Amino acid sequence: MNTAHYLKKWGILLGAVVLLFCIEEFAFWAINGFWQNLIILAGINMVAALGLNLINGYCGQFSLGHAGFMAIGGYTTAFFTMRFAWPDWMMHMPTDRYPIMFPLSLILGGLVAAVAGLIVGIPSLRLKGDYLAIVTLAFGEIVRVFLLNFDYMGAARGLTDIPKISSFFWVYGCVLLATVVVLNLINSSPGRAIISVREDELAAEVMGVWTTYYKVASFLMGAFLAGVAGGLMGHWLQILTPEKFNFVLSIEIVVIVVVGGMGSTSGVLLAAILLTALPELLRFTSGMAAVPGLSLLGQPSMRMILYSLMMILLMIYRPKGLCGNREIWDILKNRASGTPSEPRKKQAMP
Amino acid sequence: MSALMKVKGLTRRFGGLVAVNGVELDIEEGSLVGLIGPNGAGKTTCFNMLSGVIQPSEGSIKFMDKRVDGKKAYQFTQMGIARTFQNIRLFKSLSVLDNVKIACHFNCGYSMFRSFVHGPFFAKKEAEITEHAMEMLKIFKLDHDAHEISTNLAYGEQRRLEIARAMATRPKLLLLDEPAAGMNPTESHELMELIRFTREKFGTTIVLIEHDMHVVMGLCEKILVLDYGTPIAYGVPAEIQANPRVIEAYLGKTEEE
Repeated sequence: MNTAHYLKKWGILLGAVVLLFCIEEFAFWAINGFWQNLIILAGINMVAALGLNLINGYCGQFSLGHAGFMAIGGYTTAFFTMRFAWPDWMMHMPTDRYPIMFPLSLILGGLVAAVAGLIVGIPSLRLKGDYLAIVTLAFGEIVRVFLLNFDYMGAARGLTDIPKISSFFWVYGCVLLATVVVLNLINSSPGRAIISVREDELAAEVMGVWTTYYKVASFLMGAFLAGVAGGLMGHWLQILTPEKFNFVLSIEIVVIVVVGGMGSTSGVLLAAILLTALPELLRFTSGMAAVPGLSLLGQPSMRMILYSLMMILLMIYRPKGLCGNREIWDILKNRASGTPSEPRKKQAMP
Repeated sequence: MSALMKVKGLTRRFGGLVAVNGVELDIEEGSLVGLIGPNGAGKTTCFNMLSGVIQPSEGSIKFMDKRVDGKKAYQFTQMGIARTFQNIRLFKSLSVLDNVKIACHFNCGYSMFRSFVHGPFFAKKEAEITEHAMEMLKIFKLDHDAHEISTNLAYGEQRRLEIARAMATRPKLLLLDEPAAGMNPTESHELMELIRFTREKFGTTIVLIEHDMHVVMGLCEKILVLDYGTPIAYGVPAEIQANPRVIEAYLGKTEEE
């Protein structure tokens, strides 16, 4: 671990940021709007799912209120970009990307969502499993109903005319940072403490892990990432309505985490791409209507049936999600070296 | 020698049931104390209170001259009281090494913010943790299985790992809840050696619950006997073996002619 090691690490990160910028500048605008939208939404789902994976996957708490945190983050970020009087030098930068104002607004959105996470987390993390799921579900609904009646932010009409600032660079910049931070956290002592809460709470406690602290901390960080995802979403879609953040959105994010593998960052990223793209890509099956014998497959309603079928097959063949609770590179490495990395079926029992 | 832990009038009620009733115990520093009694005598409840997992209804626990009752289990551990469980509770899907590393967590020496960005300070501390964990595994002869998933270990090894994990928290007092449960005579003999070795190597004070009388009588210097939550005898093994009340608790009373 010498200086060269750190230079290399930071160099790779900087290179990745430059690469993102170049892609946006030279390639992204050239592709079809349909694909642009898909790529951006996948990125936003990645950020939200990385956050939920901290809560549901690594810490083992079951939260169903992620849409609530996304709504809080989205509306807060939009408030700061639209209604807040930024000093001139922050607003009028030489580019139209608002390089200071937008990230600051995103961070503020994330922080407000994190504070909401703290307020919900401290009392409700005494609950376990289904009970926690119900409380967080209720929280999401409370946020939605509150926004529905909050006239300053557009109430049921929604918040419209949000400037389109989110772009490939911002979204995937956030994905990159979130991934690096989450992986760094998980491969550290506090990260292992978070995982130990999932594995066995009592054993973690007697190993000196302050379980309440780590539960609240992971809840807070998950809420922060959800808030950032909400902010990115608002500034891409240019409209935020309370109905967008109903509990179906929470379920979608939960499904991404479950399909990817609870506690696998790479699996969740993969699942976010898959589950964002799949329903849209299945639209192309309508082309099959013209093929003799396959016309049934081409029916418009066939899309959702195929989607559900794929989910069922996935849960049969990969019941722990695409990657289980391991990372994709660990699976590949173990496969190459032939060492088992999963608990064996047969257990040596007394 | 001074008493490491002083327990006074320790009582725990579950509704109308008095599970532990007025346990008095002074644990000398460096001693090896056994806690025995028939099934349901309240031994594990007693342990749960001594390790902070449940709160006593009455009584006090002093550890190194400080009141500790009322504190949480993680605070007990951070002060230097580690324990193992009757039914092994390893972090099942994690590797053997990670199991031990989690025990080093609270003296890792860096904050959560440092773990977001892995800098030189982080790397140094993390290397120390790995080194300490590997050292523990080496002492308990588990180092060649360090990267194995913990449930893949054999039963005896899992017991050993649980003790290694508890010792990685650098405890002054180690509470072992039925360490020989489910072991054959050879294994329990090895376990006795291991407990003796642990005590000599680290100078840890040990309290253990055990049903295997061979182990208890062979290891412990003092034995406390519980029956229906009430302490009925305390003394050296020879005294306990000859004590009529203990024999009565285990075997029942003979009818007087």
